[in-house]
Amino acid sequence: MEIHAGRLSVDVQKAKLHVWFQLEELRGSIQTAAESGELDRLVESIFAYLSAASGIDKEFHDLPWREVALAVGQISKLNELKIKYPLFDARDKEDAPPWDYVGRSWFVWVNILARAYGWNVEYIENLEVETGIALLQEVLVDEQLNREFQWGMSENAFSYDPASRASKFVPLDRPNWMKPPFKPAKKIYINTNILPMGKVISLDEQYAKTTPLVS
Amino acid sequence: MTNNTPKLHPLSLRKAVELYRILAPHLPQDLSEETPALSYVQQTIDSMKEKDKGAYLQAVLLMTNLDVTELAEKDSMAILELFIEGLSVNEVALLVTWCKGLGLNYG
Repeated sequence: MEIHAGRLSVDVQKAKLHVWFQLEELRGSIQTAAESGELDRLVESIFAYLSAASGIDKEFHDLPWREVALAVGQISKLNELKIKYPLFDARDKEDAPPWDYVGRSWFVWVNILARAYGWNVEYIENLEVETGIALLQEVLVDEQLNREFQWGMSENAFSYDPASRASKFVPLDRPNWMKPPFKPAKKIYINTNILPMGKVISLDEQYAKTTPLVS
Repeated sequence: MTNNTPKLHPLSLRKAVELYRILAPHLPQDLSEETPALSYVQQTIDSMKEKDKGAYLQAVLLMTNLDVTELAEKDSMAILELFIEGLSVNEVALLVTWCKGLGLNYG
């Protein structure tokens, strides 16, 4: 795709997995910088985003802001995911483990894919984005199902209830993205024929009237 | 427009975001497509006079790239013309929408 920003004309290709990952991290950085009002970090993150996507660096710095904004929008649209992957449906933000560090997430992905398929880092970096994410999700699903299978054969999976004198299977917990999505409570329509008639007296209001306040 | 008026150019991203920071607390919130541009500018300037008198000149200096001495030589009408032209050249309404879309909120 050709991006025209002022006098600049750049050919930008859809990002491969590693570059896409960097772009997503930079989008997060742009958002947090904007929300915290850190203008310098916001601007640097936007330029880093454009640089990562296009391969050029300083040329965007002096362009009119509108051209830069348009370029960001075009690149974002070019690299947006067409499929909604459950893997990214993180309902609860988990705390980072003690061994976490900035930039670790990419290596977590590389480790999972390399371990599963025997690929090297360069091969993984150049995967198509949809292929990489889909395979990553499948590896994580396989690992979870294997863990559940192993768990099911363990004594710890069964808890004994003395009252009923029966064992109950306790399934292994799944990550949030593997659980069914929350469904809103179903509305129950009550037939008006069975609703109370006349003036409805609230017991809370009655109690409030009769019980004097203790001074 | 008076003579010796500098030609205004759209700001770079860094300066545009700084302009947004200066103007955002003073821009009218309830804006509709029918709001005349002069009313928009008047409300902005009125807010600056009330809350932050320095913001008006900061904005003009940023948009024109003049220094304080050069600006001091101009009369108030010339400065107002520069301010209005600066808002127009930099498409401030669009800048505000874009900045808010990023999550940048002031005022």
